[in-house]
Amino acid sequence: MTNVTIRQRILASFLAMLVVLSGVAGVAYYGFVVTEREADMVENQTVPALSASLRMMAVWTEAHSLLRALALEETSTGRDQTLELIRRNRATLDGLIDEYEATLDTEADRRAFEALRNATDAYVATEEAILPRSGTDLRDAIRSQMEPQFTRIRAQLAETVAFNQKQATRSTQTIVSVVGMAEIGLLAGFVIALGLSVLCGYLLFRAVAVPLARLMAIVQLMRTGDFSERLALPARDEFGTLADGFNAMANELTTLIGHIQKSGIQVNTSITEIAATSKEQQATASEIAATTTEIGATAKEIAATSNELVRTMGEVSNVAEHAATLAGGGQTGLARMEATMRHVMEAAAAINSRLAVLSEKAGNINQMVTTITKVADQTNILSLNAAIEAEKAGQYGRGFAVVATEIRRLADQTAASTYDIEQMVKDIQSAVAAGVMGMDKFSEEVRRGMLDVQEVGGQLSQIIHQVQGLVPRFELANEGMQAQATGAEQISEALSQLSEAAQQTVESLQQSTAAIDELNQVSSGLRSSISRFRLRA
Amino acid sequence: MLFLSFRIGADRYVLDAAQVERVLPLLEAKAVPGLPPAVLGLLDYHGRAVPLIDVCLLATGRPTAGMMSSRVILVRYADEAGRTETLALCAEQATGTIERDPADFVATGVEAGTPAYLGPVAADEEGLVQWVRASALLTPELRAMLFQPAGAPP
Repeated sequence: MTNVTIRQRILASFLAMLVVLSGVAGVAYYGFVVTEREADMVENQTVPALSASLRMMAVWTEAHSLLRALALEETSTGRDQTLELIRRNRATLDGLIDEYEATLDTEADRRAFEALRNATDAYVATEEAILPRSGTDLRDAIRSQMEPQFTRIRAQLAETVAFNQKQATRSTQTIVSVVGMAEIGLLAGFVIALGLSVLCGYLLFRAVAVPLARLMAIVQLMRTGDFSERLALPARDEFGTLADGFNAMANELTTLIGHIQKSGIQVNTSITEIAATSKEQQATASEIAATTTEIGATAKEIAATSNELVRTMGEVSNVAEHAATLAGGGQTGLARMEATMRHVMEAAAAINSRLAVLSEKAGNINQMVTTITKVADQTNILSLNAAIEAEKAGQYGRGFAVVATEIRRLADQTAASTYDIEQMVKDIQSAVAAGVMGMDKFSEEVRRGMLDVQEVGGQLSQIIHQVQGLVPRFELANEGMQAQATGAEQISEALSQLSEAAQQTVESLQQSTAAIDELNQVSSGLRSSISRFRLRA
Repeated sequence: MLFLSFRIGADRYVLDAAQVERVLPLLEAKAVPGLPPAVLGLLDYHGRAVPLIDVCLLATGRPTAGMMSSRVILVRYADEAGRTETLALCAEQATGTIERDPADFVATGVEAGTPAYLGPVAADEEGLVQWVRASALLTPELRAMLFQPAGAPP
C-alpha cells in the first residue's frame, strides 16, 4: 500500500467508480431494451391482432345478421341489396384475415389462425351454396348448416381473442418486472457508488492531507531558520519523492548555510586582519614619511658635508705635498740606517768567530778532563790492588792498607771533580753553540731588516711619486664632491616630494580604514543574520 | 776480612779479596770459537792465557757495559782437586772494597734453585750484599773444557 502513488490511487478510484457506474448503466440499458422489445411486441403484434380479432368478431356477427336478413327479405331488390352487403362484408373479412396474418408470431397463434381460415373458407363455400335459395328453404339451410359453423367460428375467434389478451397481459407483466428490476439495480448501483466514492475520497484525503500537514510543519520550522529536522515519510509516493527532494534541498541549504557561516567567520577574520594590516600600513606610511623627512635632512647634511669635504680636500692636498717632502727626508734616513745595519752584521760575524775559538778551547779542556779521569781511574785500580796486597800481607800491610784507602778516596774525589768540570765544560759548549746560533739568527734578522729597509726606501720613493701624482686627482675629487653636493640637494628636494606622497598615502589609508570599519559592520550583520539558522550537528 | 765489591745490574756482590790476584782495566780478550757466550775469550796476563768470564752475561744474559768503572778482576783459587786455577772475571762498578766479618754473612734459604756460585748475604747501610764464590763459577764441563790436564796440547 505504501508504494502506491497518489496518481495510481486517483486512477484506481475513478476506475472503480467507472466500473460501478458502467454496471448500473448496463443494467438500466438491459431493462430498457427488454421493455422496448416487449412494448414493440405489444404495439406491433398483440394489439393489432387483438383489434383484428375483435373486428372479425363484429364482422362475423354482421355476416350472421345479414344472412338472417336475407332469409327474411321478400323483395328481390332488398335481396340484391342484402347480397351486396354480404359480399362487401366478406371483403372486409378477407382484409381483416390478411391483417391478422401479418401479426402472427408464435406457432400456436399460427395454428389457431389456420383453423380459423379453414373454418371461414368452409363457411364461405357453404354460404355460396345456400345463397341462391330463398324463404323457408334458406332459413332451414341457415339453421341446419350455417349455425354450427357460426358457433364454431365464434368459438375459434373467442379463443384467438383470449390468446391475444393473455399475450398482452404477459408482455405488460414482463415490462413491469423489468422496470422494477431496473429500479432496484439503479438504487443498488447508486448506493455502491456513493459508498465507494466516500471510501476513495477518504483514502485520497488521508494520502494527501497527512504528508501535506507534515510538509507544512517542516516548512514552518524551516521558516524560523531551523534546518536540523528532516522529513521522513513511510510511503514511497509523490510525497515520498517530494520529501526526498525537500530533504536534499534542506541538506544543500544546510551545507550552503554552513559554508556561509564559515565564510562569514572567515570574512570577519580577514576583515580584522585587513584592518590590522591597514593600520600597520598607515603606521608604516607615517614612518616612511618621517623617515623620508629624516633622509631629506640627512641629504642636506650630506650636501653640507660635501662642501666641507671640498674644503678639507684642499687642506689634504697641502698635507700630501708636505708628506711627500717628509717621505724624501725619511728616504735619506733609511739609507743611513742601512749602512748602520751593515756595520752591525760585520760585528756579528766577528762575534761568531770569537765564539768558535771559545768552543775550541772548551774542547781542549774536555780532553784534559778525560786525561785526568783516566789518571783517577788508574789511581783507583792501583789503590784497590794495593789494598788487596796489604790484606794479603796481613799484619804487616795494615799501614799500607790505610794509605791505599786514602789514595782511593783522593782518586774518587778527583773523579767527582773532573765530573763537575766535564759538566761545566759541557754547559759552556752548549752556551757557546746557543750563542752561535743566536748570532746567526741575529745576523739573519739584520740582513732581513736591511732588505726591509731597502724595500721601505723603494716604497717611500713610490709614495713620493704617487703623492706628487695625487694633486691632479684631488682636483678631480673636488669637482666630484661639488657635483655630489648638488646631487644631494636634488635628492633632498625629491625626498620632500616623496614625503608629501607618503602623507597622501597615510590619508588614503585612513579612508580605507574607515571603509574597512564599515565592511566590518556589514560582516557582523551578515554573521548575526546567518547565525539564527540552526543546523544539524 | 776484606772483600772486593762489584755490581750485577743494580745489586751488589762481593768477592773474597784473598782470592783476588789483581784488578785491571777493561781489556780486549782474544776470542776463542766454540766456547759458550759467557766465556768472552782468553786474556794475556804476564805471558799466561787466562779465560775471561763475563759475570754480568752469566747472571743476567746482558753483556757488561763498556764503562770506565767496569773492570777485569783476576782471581786465583784452589779447586776441589786442590789445583790452583786463575780466572779473569769482568764486572761492573768494581771500584771499592768492604771490610766485613765472614760471620755477618748468613744463608739466604733459597740456595736450592739458585746457581752454585751465589753464597750467603750480609746487610749494611746500602742494603744486602751477596758473596760470590769464585771457585763455583765454572761448571765441571766448562772447567774440563778450559783447564785441560798438562801434556794434552798437540
